[in-house]
Amino acid sequence: MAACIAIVAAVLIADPGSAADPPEFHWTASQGFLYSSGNNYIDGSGDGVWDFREYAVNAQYEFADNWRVGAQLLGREYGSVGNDRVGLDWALVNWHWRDWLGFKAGQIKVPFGLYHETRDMDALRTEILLPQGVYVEYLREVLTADLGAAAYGAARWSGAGTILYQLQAGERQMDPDDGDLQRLMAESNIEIEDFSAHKPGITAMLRFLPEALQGLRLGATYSIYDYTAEGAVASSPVSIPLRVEVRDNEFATCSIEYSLGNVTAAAEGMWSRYSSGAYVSGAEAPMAEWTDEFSGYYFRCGYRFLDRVEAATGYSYFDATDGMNAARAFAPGAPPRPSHTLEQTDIYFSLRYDATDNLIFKVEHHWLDGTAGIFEGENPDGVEERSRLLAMKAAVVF
Amino acid sequence: MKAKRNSIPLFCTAALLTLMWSGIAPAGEEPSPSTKQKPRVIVNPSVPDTVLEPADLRAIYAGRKTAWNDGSRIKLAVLRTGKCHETFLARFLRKTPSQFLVYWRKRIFAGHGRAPKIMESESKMLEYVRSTKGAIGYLCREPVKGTREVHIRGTAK
Repeated sequence: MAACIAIVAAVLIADPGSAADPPEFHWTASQGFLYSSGNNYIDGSGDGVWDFREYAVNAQYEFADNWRVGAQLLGREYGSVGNDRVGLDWALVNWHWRDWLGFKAGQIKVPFGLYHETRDMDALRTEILLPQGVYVEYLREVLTADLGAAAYGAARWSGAGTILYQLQAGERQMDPDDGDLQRLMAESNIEIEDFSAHKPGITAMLRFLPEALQGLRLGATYSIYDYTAEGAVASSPVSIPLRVEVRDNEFATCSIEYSLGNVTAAAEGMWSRYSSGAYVSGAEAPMAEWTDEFSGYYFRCGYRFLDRVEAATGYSYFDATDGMNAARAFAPGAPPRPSHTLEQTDIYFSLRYDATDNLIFKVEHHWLDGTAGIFEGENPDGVEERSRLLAMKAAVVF
Repeated sequence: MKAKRNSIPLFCTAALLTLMWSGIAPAGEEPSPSTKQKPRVIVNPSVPDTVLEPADLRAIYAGRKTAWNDGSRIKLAVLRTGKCHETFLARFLRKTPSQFLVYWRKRIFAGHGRAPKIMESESKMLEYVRSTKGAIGYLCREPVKGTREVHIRGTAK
């Protein structure tokens, strides 16, 4: 709401200047099918699930020279996450003062790796699922958007290349009802009711495009913020209100991508860490404290071998062997988690067919080893160490 | 279940392999255009620049350079499809039409900017560039009165 008010106010006070172009609208939608052998990769996928879709519509308008406003609505369904609730994805007012310095304010997407900002737009990539070693689905919630402001720009060093940069600060927007983080918290027996921020999150993005090697992109991102999750112990016969304070939640990525003709190869690495304390409401001393650390990486290669057909393959590894420590913090005597629940390797093969520039069909097969991305809560009969995943999707974009 | 892997050396190896593979292509090598057509970059006569560096042209068509040298706004136009479009992208931007389309769609859906003006034909491109202050476009035929050809440094006139 605050973002919308800021945008409307900016349009009203701005000098129309030489603005001429009418507002521009774009939309996209995708519907998929997910089937996994052995485990429910997402809720219900063991039997095949159609709850696998995204849709978004955006509008942008340049209301004066160098001034732009825009907003995007997004809805999604990913197993038990999303529940087709349409919400504000981003909404901003942008002042592009110079190419090397611009400012934007409102609800702004968080830069994370090379592909996070458009991860919900299936039509904009070859793969159906982004490599889970870096774009971990249950950590998505804490990286969606900030309500705040950002400075950004592009500076060219003659002969060397171009540097792109962005620094943003704001309150992280997290969905207390239908988000991905609930799946992670539920795994620790915590039911989330609300999120609140302790202090503004800070995110920095840096990319370098060398002039000597066109098609090469190098990048790094870093983000840090704190938040509090209010909720209750889920399985207790008596409701026990609980507050989980998450401090110094850091995310860092480093990325490399190279495109040559119809081939694009990329590799990215991710690292994340946070400290948590769980407090019974009103108490000052924590009932449990723990630290989680996650990391991962992937490399992938895509090749458009026909005018409208593209194939991609990749290897992804996610490491949570120093993560998922909440359960042991609550029950120190509990046995350690089986090691296969703390790692996951994924080898995949994707095929994309562009029937037209606006209609895309995809199919993808994954071979998974380890269950770090699979939740016990969605697999009450236990999880299998190795599993396979078949995904299909149709997408439209205009 | 395998022993815990150390992520960092494996990631570095993957990054190094990507970089080594990227080095196979000599710097500045252009993909072969699929046509003999030679795209010409044209601008509205109000544009002060008469020569552009190849990197400037790439920055303009990536949305990273948005103003001419006198500070006036660049108005970007592209053809929707066709051999001229393909050749322009391959020769000057080192992109395929699908890569170019996805690049701009990512900008739009991430909230980074508006799309360039899309022209259905070279005639419409010509008309847009002629009538729009600060406009830049391209075509594969002789420019006409009311537009001006811009030389891209390092390419044959």
